[in-house]
Amino acid sequence: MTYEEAVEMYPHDTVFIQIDDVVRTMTPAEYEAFIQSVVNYVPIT
Amino acid sequence: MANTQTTVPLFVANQVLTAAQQNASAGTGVPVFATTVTRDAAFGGSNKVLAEGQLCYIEASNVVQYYDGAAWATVGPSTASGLTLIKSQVIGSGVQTVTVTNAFSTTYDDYRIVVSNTTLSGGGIAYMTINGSTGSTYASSGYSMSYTSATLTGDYTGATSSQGFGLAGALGTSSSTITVDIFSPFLSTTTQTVSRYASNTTQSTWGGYDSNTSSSTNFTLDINSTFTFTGGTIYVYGYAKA
Repeated sequence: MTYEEAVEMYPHDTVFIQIDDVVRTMTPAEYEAFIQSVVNYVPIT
Repeated sequence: MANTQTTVPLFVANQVLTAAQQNASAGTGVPVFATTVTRDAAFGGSNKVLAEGQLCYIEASNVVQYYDGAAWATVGPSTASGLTLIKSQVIGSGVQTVTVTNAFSTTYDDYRIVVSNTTLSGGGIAYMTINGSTGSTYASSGYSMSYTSATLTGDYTGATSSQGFGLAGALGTSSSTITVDIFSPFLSTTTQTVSRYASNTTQSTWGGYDSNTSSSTNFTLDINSTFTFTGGTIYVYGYAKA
């Protein structure tokens, strides 16, 4: 998946993370890291 | 004086309280001692003779004990044995990752993490990272099977994965439960995981290793970096060291 495809599939305002009791959208840095993880992910199944 | 009681007396106004009644009342209460040494010194001689059924509380170990006629025994599990619940965390709706902070500390070396009855938005591999570990230092592998086939599927992440410990494979989108034993995440040494997974359609077992020796206090769960968790609860328990 390309960077652009990842951003299109996972818009910033639709990606939520949870830290203890708090559920929120990602900071720009967290979102960037998330998109990179999606781009770099190699399925192993 | 034995501790066996035959009545639970009820006093009325102006009734004479006898020495025997007072002794019975004082002698059958739950005395508090600083240590087991002061406990042992408090019975016998001019004091009460230790007898079966005697209770006490030990401040040094925060336990209630009873005397069985031959030795003292602790009532219920003491704080120093078995698994102790450290914290629990309800999982929100549609969350990409779930981080639990302050799960690991010097109190325990090894932990059990239970992810109970959560629903996943898609299949693949469940991963866990620990916050002290950065870079590509994780390695994991495991097996999975469906409930309708004897075919065993093996997966592995390679020796230098940055994704995290692989916890489970062939994930289902039904109600899912994962148990993880994680060893030495807070210690400055390598960390290992052993995990089991079951859904309504599949099950798997995995093991993992992280060569990064940095200390961690938090862990984060995710599914392939792409799918989400909804509902369920994460429980973190510590294994007593002694």
